[in-house]
Amino acid sequence: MTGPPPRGFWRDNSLSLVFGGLLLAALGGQAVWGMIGYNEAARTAGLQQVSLGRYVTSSGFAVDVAENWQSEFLQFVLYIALTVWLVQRGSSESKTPGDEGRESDEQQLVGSFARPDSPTWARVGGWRTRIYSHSLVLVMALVFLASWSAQAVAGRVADNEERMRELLDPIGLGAYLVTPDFWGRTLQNWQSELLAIGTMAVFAIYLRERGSPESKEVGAPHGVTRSSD
Amino acid sequence: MPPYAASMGQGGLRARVGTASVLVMGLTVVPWLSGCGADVERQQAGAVADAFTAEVSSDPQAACALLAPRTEQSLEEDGEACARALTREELPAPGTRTAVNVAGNTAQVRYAEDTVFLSLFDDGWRVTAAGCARTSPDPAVPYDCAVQGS
Repeated sequence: MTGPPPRGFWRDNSLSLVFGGLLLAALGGQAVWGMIGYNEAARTAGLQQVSLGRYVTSSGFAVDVAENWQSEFLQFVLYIALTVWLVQRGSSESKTPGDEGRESDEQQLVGSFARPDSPTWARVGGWRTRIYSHSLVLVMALVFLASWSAQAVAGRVADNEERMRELLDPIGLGAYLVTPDFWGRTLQNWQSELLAIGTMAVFAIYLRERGSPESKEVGAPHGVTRSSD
Repeated sequence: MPPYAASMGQGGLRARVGTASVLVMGLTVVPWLSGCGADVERQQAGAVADAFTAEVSSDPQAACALLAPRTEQSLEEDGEACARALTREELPAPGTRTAVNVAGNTAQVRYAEDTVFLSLFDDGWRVTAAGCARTSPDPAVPYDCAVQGS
């Protein structure tokens, strides 16, 4: 079972390409509107306005981007890891109740059950197969930690810029990690991601989008979690 | 893959991870690069603050040229020339410089007897507030400054 033959790079990768394009467009829009906002505040305070180039390399822009990214990757880490053990009956985002757990090597096509076209690290066994078995969560978790660290470092600089503009003392990284600014930025993003993914898990029980792999078939019963049930 | 298998649109998800990983590395690097550039900014901000505090008593006209526009306007509000108004404020002799902090476009230079705040403009660092002292142990209460923009 190797799937249909390739149909060309653009058609076979359209989903990734469109999301990549949308990401860059949104990032560009955020940069432009962020610079406009920064410059409005600078004019109000009688301070220097900045160019787009200077704004996108500023800590203010970096923290605004990083605080959203870390929460997205945390969302994926939690969802990928928790759906191994937790289920939502009837949701296309869940395994079938009763299938919780790591599953057998035969089900996971690893070791002696690997197919000839399985990834090498799934076939070889040992530490490489163990790592590869968790590679998705590991990479997501690393990107989450990198983004969250970037938020902390850039957020401290941006906060200190604001503090000194208001004639206050700047603070160190340790002190910044217990400020309302750091945790406000962090938790406001976490709650929205948890709401979105929790909503998706529940809405997918009762609602449909014809043709989308994120949805059950339109006629699938609400109580059915997988078509094989 | 079963039609109802749990998924997050895995093709798109992997691509987003790849693209985002590169951008996250950039995001991680930018603040650190800013930190390296901050060494140069610290030297420049410290030099401007040193020049300002020295010239306040010796050459107030030159000291006025180091003020941010809003701060200079504030001194001249009563129709008095900047240099004359600056002299009248009787800023404290600063003493030894003890610290220079830079974050983005703002800086704070601390002396034993004075604290100066600066902001970065196209033509370099300019003093936004001087003759500043803490009046409260509460860190959320700003410095009280003899000279500052309105």
